[in-house]
Amino acid sequence: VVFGITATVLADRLQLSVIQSAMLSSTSLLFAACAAVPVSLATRVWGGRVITFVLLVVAGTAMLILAALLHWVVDLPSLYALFIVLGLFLGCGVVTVNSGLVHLSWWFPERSQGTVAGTFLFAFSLGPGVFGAFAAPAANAMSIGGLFLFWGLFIYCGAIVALFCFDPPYTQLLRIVRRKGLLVETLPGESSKNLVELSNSNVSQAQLMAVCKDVLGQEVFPENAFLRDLRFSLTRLENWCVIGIASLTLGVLLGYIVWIPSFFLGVMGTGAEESGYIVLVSKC
Amino acid sequence: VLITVFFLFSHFFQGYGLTSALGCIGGGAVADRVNVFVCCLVFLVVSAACFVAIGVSTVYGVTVAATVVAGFVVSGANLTAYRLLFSYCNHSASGTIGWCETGGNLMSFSLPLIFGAIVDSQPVSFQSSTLRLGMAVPASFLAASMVLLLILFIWHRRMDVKATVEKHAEAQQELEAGPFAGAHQALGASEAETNNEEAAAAFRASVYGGLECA
Repeated sequence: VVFGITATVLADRLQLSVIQSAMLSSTSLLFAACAAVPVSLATRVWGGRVITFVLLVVAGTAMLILAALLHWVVDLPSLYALFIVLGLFLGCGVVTVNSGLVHLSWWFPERSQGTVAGTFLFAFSLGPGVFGAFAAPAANAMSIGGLFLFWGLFIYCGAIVALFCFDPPYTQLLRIVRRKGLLVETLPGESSKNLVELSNSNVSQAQLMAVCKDVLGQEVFPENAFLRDLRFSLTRLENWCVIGIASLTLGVLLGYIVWIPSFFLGVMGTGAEESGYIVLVSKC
Repeated sequence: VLITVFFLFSHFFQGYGLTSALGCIGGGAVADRVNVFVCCLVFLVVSAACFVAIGVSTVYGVTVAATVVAGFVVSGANLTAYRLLFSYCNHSASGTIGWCETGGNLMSFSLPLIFGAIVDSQPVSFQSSTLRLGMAVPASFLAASMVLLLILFIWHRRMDVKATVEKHAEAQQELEAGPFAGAHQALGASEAETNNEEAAAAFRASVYGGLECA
């Protein structure tokens, strides 16, 4: 979104060709595509709070560096490569969708996962829309560097909010017993322990899960080890089917937005502005 | 009126943020309340039909309406895919979510390029009809999704049958090792001696009757 909304201004300041401008706009999305799996797996190890915080801090810092460059540096065309690198780091903001989805799935029962994911993606889609509404007038009111500065600080606010989130019970308990060196592979006798005992005696992951399920009501767990999770996600037929359906529908959803203006211009002969509104409306 | 409302809302929010979100929230909520396979199939079929209508229609209003509906249902289909993920890939949800996002972002990056290549390959005078023909690309993507959904459904049914058989086998083992072991052997003897199906069934019901596996 950041480079999309400010594309014309940036192309002018950096003296970019159409291809260079397109590359700059797409770097963050390409980074997001490449980083999605590592981020999802990292979330299951360190929890959604830490990962989201780190991602937002990286994205916010990249945005502040961009603001500084746009404000103070005169010879911007020579810094195109640096802009590409910073664009990649801005992709960290996009990847928070992965850490968020994984994190939320542990907090809610399985029967309401659809509503939870829908609500999360509702908010996730709303952000760029709301920001886009204010970006253009804000860019006119202040310099583009000022806009990027405001944007970076806004992302930092998001990072601070992320710090106040809670990891799900299982992740918290796992962290406690790991810190105390009490986690063992297997242990006879299952969920007879209570929460206090769990944090003071040797305990297995199965026991932790049983207690979180029985006492704390957590229904969805990161059941497998890190590498096992990765292997399962690639070797199971059902996973491939779901990955295929989600990828194809998401591809159509996003690719269609890009293409529809050209379609309406070419086939229906509508004006650019009208086509833009159809795209906006179509996404409902 | 609906289109005008969406138009105004879209204008206010600079667009697709709000409207896409409506599709997300609708798809997710519906998928939680009805059969997720049926829900996903309906969304995919309607989406594909909308893209066919966009490609075929020469009436401006129909094209716009099909576009509006397509945006909502494709978004809904995507959400039901996530619902399927949480139902059937729970053992590796983290990795699977990652692959879904990777695949989706790469697809969204490549789809406009495919469109562009198709249109550029044609002379200018044919580009209008080629643009219409290009709608076959998203429609075929959605058709491929339907095939994958069918495969997933078949897998799900097979796993259901397998799980039932395993559950019965486990119950049988428990029964043979438990307090009903003698009675179970007696059941075998009774069936062999009398060869009376009705009596055997009644006897079996009296032994297994209190158990869930019966």
